[in-house]
Amino acid sequence: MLQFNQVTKGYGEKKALDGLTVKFEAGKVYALVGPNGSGKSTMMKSAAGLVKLTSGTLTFKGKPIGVESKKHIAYMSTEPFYYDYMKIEDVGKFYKDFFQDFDSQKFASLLQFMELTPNLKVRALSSGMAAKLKIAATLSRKADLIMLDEPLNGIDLIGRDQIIHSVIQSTGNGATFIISSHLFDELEPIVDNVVMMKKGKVILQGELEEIRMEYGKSISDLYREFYSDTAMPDSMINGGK
Amino acid sequence: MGTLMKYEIKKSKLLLFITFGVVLITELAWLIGFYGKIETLSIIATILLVCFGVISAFIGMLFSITLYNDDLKKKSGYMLFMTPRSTIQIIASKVIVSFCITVALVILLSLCGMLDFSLFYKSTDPDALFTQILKPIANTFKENPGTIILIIFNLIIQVFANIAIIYAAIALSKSVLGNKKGSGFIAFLFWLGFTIVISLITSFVDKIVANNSTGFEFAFTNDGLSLSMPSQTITVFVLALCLNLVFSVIFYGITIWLTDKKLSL
Repeated sequence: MLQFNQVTKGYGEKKALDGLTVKFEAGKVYALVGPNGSGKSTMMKSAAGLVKLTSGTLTFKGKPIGVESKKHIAYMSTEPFYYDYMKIEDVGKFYKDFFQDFDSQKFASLLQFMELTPNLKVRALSSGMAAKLKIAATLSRKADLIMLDEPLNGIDLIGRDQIIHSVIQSTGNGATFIISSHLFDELEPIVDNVVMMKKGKVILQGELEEIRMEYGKSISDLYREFYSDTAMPDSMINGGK
Repeated sequence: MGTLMKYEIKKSKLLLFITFGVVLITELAWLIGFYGKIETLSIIATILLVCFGVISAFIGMLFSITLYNDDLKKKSGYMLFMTPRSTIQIIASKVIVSFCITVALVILLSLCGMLDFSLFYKSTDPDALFTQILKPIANTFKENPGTIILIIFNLIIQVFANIAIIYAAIALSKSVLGNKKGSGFIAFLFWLGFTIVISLITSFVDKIVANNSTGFEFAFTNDGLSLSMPSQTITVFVLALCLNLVFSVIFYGITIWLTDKKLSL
């Protein structure tokens, strides 16, 4: 469904994506994990058409990313991205105006579930409320591919449960989900596949159960193993030698 | 495209409200000053309205630049560029909205100016020196409205050629120059360079067609002196207008290409 082939994205000297090759299949729920700066957001933004590639090919259902793919891809960035002048209800109207797959009724019920008042100004929302609004608007689209970038970032426990519940409710209807996080544990109840990224490349991918069987370890242990050099300075890893 | 334009207007409604509100309040102040014989109020309002007239083109440019630059600089741009609309439609909606805003502002200021001018002109002594000075301007409105329209239209197209260059410069600074030091300065030089080039080409056309002798002619009409444009000046104006249109199209093309192919948010 979504295929990255030798994709590179450079920002000056730094490469956010470095020869990335990965394929996401229809109807599956993927956890996209990796530490900060591993290229997760750049990868999602490029699929949403917001980031232009330096080289390589990126296709959605066999066609390059463009106007047609945007009709079927819903993307939620980690940063708040709604216009300041908008009220919560205006966000729904905007999505309704531009996306044929937007379900206004679902949006209204998600707002109710998330305890968000439609006439509140977007700029007056707390970070937790803004995150819930992003989730509500994105999940109200019946898109073929839904990408959520760090949906649980900076959310309190109750908000986390509400978001996880909303995501679980939305999966299983044939849509592909890619959900990123720098912590795997929080995604475990939602996903069935995992893609681990490091320095703009995929270092591990597959179904959760298969990976657990193959490596004989939990995904969290594998995560710690793969990223221990990122988490700690070399001197600590080498015992200070 | 209509939906995109609707949201471009919504984005700028506060700025629009302030701009048009200030013009209308100033006009009201002028009328109060005129009918209430409060000379100081009339003079201040006249100065302000003349200033608005002079800077109206810049206000239009400011609207246009804000509409594009904000969506590239702020995260809210994600919302717009995620929509299933082509870059051509997105940029065109910004251009059309800012064009309409500029034209609306110019029309509003022209109407205010014409109303104030005719009220003031009618109230003055026909033999007074001041009335004699204003007479050619009044006659030009009556005898050669085409001249006035051509001047205003030329000004608007010049403004839009300039906006096109600024758009291309912004797109350049945010795309291929995005991670380079001094990208803003290079973009500024890009804008300055092409503005000078267009100006030089216009001067060259002036020299070829009219031997640098474009200007206005004074003609005697039944009502007295009137300003008019000689045919050579009209030719130069029309050629300059076409030139600015061509440059507008080229630079909008560059902007669309850079935004579509090279610009990352």
